[in-house]
Amino acid sequence: MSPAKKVGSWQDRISWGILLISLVVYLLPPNTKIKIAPPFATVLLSPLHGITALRTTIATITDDNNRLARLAAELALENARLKHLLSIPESSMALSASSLQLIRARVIARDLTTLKRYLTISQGINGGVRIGSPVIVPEGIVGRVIAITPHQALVQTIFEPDFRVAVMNARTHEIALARPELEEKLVLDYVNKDADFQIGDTIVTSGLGGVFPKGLRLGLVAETPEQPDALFKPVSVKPFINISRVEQVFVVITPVAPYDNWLDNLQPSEIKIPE
Amino acid sequence: MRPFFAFVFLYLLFILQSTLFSIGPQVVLLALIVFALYENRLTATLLGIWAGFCLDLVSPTTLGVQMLALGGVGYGVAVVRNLFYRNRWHNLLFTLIGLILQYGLYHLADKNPITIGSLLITTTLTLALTPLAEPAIVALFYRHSKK
Repeated sequence: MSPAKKVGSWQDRISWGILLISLVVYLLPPNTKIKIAPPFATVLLSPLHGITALRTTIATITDDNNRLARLAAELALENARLKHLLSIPESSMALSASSLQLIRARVIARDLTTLKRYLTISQGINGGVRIGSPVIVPEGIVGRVIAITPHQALVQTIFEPDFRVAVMNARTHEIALARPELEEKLVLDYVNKDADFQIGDTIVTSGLGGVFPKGLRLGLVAETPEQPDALFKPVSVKPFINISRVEQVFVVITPVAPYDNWLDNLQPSEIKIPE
Repeated sequence: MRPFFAFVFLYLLFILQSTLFSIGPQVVLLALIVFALYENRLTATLLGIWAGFCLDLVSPTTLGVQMLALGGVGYGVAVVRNLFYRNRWHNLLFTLIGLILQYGLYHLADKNPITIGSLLITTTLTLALTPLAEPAIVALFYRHSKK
């Protein structure tokens, strides 16, 4: 027998022996296999577990990242919307200069008839809202509070037929009284015949009447039809706001003027009836 | 030292195969066949047993299946390689026989059958990679070998 053949034969014998051991392992019952495997698995599969854990972590991080990206997009949208809400025009910002306070509120209900005459908002007495408080959005006036509960308030919008507000032409300072008309328009009453109102003029609150502070935007003059026989000049105003789209509003809290309750504080001795 | 690196290399391929290719080419089998073509019978058998043992640990209930299959492939290839002049088709034949042994024994040992879809994908990818396996491993381990 050649040396190569001898080498081949002992290698063959050992190889067959190893394969026989494999066959024995193969034929072992599953319970025994489960007992044998763990010590080897702990050592040999540790990189595998590490990589699997890493993949799971990466998958989790990816999911979190996607979720946070969605959240960031939603927040960016919300932020943009709120910034838009807060971008109150300069004329209305006169409010803050006069120490007025703005309270933000959500529209939580609308009247079921036209959806434009009344709004219910998410702030009430507890939030500092009072009856008569003006309600605005950055575009302009929404209305005023006419009823309140601790956590809600009912707002009479500028389209409610009984709504009236003292206004003026921002360009010429001509004063008038605005009231609603059909088709989401307002008309101005008591405008002098010779008053200067042109199409496109901005109408703002005049501050007269004590409800709405001066300078709140209401709308633009839409038309001024010529009516030579009329006592006053007819002026039609297109409001800035689209009440159907209003979701959040600001309630203007005006400080109580010291002379608001002057009659209650007046002493009987001070009442002098003129002769 | 070369057999030692072969063991390490097979282990690394096992990690690669088990983590990256849940359904993919049997790179461990491909490497084993190439090693068996160049190493002696005992080393080829031990390499097969080692690779099979690693693969078996992933599913302990089927311990011994891959050991027996890959050990048999290693020894078998090492035995038959000198019986005829090899050409490139023989490696494909070895790979196919190895896959049949692996999956045949696995099917016998495990009650959960392997889906035909995954079997087809694995077989196709493994056979497709077979022509590349030998040049790659020879370049890594047997550059200076005359065999």
